Amino acid sequence: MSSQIGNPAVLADVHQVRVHDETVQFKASSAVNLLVAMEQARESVIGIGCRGGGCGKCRIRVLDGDYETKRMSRAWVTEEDEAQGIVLACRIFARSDLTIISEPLPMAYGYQPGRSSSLQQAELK
Amino acid sequence: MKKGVMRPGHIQLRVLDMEEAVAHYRDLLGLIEVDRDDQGRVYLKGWTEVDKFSVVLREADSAGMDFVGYKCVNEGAVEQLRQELIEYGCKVEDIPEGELNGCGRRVRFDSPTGHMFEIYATKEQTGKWEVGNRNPEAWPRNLTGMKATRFDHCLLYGPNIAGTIDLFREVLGFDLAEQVLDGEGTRLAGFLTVSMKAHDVAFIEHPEPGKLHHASFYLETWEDVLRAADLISMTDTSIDIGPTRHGLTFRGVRRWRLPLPGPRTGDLGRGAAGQGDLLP
Ligand code: FES
Repeated sequence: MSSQIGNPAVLADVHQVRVHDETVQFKASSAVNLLVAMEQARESVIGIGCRGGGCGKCRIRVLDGDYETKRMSRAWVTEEDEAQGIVLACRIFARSDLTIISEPLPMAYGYQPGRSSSLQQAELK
Repeated sequence: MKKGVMRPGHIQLRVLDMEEAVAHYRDLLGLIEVDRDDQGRVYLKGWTEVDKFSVVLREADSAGMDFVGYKCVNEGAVEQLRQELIEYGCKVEDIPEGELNGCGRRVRFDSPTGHMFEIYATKEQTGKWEVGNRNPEAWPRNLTGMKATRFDHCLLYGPNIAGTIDLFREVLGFDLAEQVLDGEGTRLAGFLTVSMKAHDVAFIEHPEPGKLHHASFYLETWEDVLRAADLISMTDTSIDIGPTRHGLTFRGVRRWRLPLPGPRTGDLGRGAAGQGDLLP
């Protein structure tokens, strides 16, 4: 499949993203990365960091579905990880409906995983 | 005691995607792209800087910092410090003239926190961008983005900051401007200066070696900081914190820091951190 990233000739599709074992679902346009799609849907199931593929905070595992990726830091996603569907949400673009699960690194000190469920409305104010 | 080190001169950053990184550093921060080399590295500087470049971007498969270089008064000082670094126990590597376009020989050395540093004395001087030194106008008319004026400092994370701080003080002649101690007196952070600036480099204790928290660029006024804030929101750029005031080194430093390096400090989105520090 040829890349759709940044190709204005390809119209964006909207795909449904389901978070495994949770009630959370959100819609993701194929034109924006999955982390931004989650933010636009006002969800917070994935940790938000640099939004540029560098910090590893948005690490997830895609259990089902197709996606396209941009370059991700090998410090947080090894080739073996990538083969198993472990990716950085800020660097992938949905190409079908997806089922995902958060996959934070067993990181030390200072690491703050994303919240496990959606923000309550009250917290959004 | 001063040993001939003058100031931070350049920083080489690893970025994941050069196109995105150039959009960030050149178009958003407003640094000037001055050169590219046959390795694909991109050279930039703030418009007020006389030396040819202060930021080098290198595309790689992980983000972070390759090295920071400090400029010395002359080649004699570099040679003298090279000897002292070897005697101090650093692993020293000689980088030949021209390895970076327009830069003379550099001496690279390691440190207890796992960072690589360099000293050098010679770099091509291309002058202030677009205004030069002959009857200059107040500022260049075609700046973009935040119009960052110059590279200021970086904050580095790693283990054993006490060791690297000793190296900077004892060998390179930096002074400890301020530090943060915990209840037991253990040093958690140290801010060092070698010039007339509030700080030229800072270290924070952290278990992972060789990390970059941020590189910062100078904005002159509070108005510039607010304008930078507008651009952050207009471009939906990740932001870590700010603007804030903090006591360290200068009461009332206000800054925007972007984009968020996250807790994995130094592995920055688009390999990027920009910060406007305002010293009122
Ligand atoms: S948010 Fe930093 S890697 Fe995705």
